[in-house]
Amino acid sequence: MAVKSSQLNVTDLDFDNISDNLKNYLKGQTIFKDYNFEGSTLSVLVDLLAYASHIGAINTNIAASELFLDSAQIRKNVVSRAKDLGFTPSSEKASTAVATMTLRNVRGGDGLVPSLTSMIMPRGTIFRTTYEGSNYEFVTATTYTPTVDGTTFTYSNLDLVQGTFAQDQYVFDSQLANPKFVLSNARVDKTRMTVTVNSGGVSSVYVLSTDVSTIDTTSKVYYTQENEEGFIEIYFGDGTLGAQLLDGDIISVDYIIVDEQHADGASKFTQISAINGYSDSQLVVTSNASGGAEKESIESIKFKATKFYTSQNRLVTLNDYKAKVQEYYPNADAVAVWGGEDNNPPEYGKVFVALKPNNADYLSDTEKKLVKDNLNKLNMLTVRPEIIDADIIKILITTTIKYNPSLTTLTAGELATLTKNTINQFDTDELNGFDAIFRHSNLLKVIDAADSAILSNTTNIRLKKKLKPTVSTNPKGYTVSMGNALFNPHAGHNADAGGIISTTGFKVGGDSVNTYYFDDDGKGNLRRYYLSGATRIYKDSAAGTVNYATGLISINAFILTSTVNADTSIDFTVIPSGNDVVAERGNLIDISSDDIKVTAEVDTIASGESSAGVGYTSTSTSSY
Amino acid sequence: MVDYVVNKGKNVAIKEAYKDLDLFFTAHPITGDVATKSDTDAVRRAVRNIVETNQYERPFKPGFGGNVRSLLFELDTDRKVRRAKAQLAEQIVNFEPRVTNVRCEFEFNGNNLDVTVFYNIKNGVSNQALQFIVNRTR
Repeated sequence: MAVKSSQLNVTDLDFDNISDNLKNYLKGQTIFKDYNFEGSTLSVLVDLLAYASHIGAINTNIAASELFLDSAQIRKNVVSRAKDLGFTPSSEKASTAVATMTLRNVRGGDGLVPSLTSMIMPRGTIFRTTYEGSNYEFVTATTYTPTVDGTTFTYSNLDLVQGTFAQDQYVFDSQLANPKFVLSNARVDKTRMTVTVNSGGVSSVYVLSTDVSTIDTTSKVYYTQENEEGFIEIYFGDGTLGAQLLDGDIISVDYIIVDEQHADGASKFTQISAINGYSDSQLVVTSNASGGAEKESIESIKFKATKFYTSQNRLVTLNDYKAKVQEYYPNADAVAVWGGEDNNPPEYGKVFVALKPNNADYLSDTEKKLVKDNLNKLNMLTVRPEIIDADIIKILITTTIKYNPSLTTLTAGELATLTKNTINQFDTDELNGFDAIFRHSNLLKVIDAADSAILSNTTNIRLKKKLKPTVSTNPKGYTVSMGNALFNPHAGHNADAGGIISTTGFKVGGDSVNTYYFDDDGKGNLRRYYLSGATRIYKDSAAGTVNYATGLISINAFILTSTVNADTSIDFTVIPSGNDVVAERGNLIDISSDDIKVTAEVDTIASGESSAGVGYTSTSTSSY
Repeated sequence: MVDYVVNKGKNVAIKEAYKDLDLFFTAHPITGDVATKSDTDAVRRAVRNIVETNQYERPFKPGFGGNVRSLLFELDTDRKVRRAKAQLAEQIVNFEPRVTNVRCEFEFNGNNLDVTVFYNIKNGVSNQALQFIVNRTR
């Protein structure tokens, strides 16, 4: 860098540049001349000075970076900066299932049925599940009192929490300045923590402080924070913001140590710990295990802390809701929020929150209630939040690839599997949020690039959406919004073969024999029929309406008695008008892995089997 | 180091003296300033610095230095001695452009190694020699 040699350039941070600047500076004096020779003593001094400057510059740079939330890299500093904004990162969360357990044949050796008190299920009772080939242990986080009927004891709505039950105890000593109590395990579910303080023989349960405005001098609250090693530490009030502890008070902290693998989705449990010696039990799971999550990541803390600060613990704007929902439900894969005025049909005074968990399609009712209750504490009086399931539109892919067998050692079957995996990867990469758009041409490009032997592909799509009707003796109507225009090139298109809509089967009131389906006549009418052999017998040619332009299917009121799908649902499959699929409001689009159909065909021209196009077949763009 | 100045309308070549600090940083007996080395002494000091520096000692210059310490557990074979001499000479040539005709001589003296480095100073005094002894210190 050309500078006057009497000046020292101090802006560079790199060792070589600092060294060059020093030598440049030395050119401006006449006392020493040998600074340019590596072996000279002056060169040793120059190097030493440059080294010290370089290290100093690095340290300053790192220290300055760690001072700000945006640039901090070390977790303890990110947590500390977030604390300045009033944000506490969430801890690991244990996967939780809800079940009801019946304990049968409970009778003592004397023939008597034990008392209810002796049959209370203690906290920490162990259950086991086998999920995807591995065993996981779940425990109860609180005690449960059963109901009894003869020799059968029933424990309803058990919260089974994955992990290990643990307890830490401390003695309070006011001589220690600023006392904090560090839990002895790193992976602790903070939401399942119980803090009890025994003061002079009287035990009191302390609760986690979440809102400082409700705390007075006697509030029995504790505070938590993550310490530099990533462990949770708890501390208590100072007599102004929360009750102050006394010397000798015994603090007990019960908590769950969270497993490293979350068994989200586990649905079958067996009892391991006997209750009062009895273990002949049967468990009925009402809510599969869900909600397991890791400690909040550094990137997540940086993202949420600023949002949290902006929302100021109040729910006013849509972004406030988005930030809070992610705080209350850290396992969210995608969150979409919109006001009732934007809903279809508009519902004023409401705000809609669509949530998709990480490892499942829908939230359980318990989880929805939990999120809603939390949001209700902070929202404006006139606005009510509604937690709804994400409407998932599945894209069914049917693709035929042409390949040159001389360019690959893979068989047709292996190429088909490779293509299927490529499509699944495209789904993971491109369609993982609420605002995603399925771009057909991008998928074609990805399929062509899956293997050098693939020469071309013809890929057709259909859309599938699940309607969850209610089984009832009263007639009820439904709507299914595909969110995308439907294929209808002319009035009456494909009316004889069932139009462009197909569904799974269901049974209706008054006919317990036939299984019914819906299709359309291409003129905007939904028809209900059953099959006699391969012939469609229409029972209702105006069972509803189809709006091809908006993709809205309206079903007139009817009595549903059962569905072919085990989960009481009817799948609607349609052919869209365009090949690109967009997700609106609470819709999520997802390529259905089970419905990807890939056919690999040898390209007869490229392989030399046929020439001049004779005998070459191409796939129809309307084959599904 | 030759430079040119204009003296009475003519270009006159002058030789500026090399000038460096002494690595021992001894004080000048009269002025109390740090002692300096000049000309042949400065070059000798620089050659000595190169020879006595081990590799990885200088920050960000891992390849700098005669690396004599690396000879500590080497075998006393002709091949090794030749390689050591070449290594030492190469380092001096690479890092000290003021000298030429560098040659190293090793002489084994019991458990000691007497090393002599011969060199000429460019545009200066020829037939310079730097001698030092390598031995175990414990």
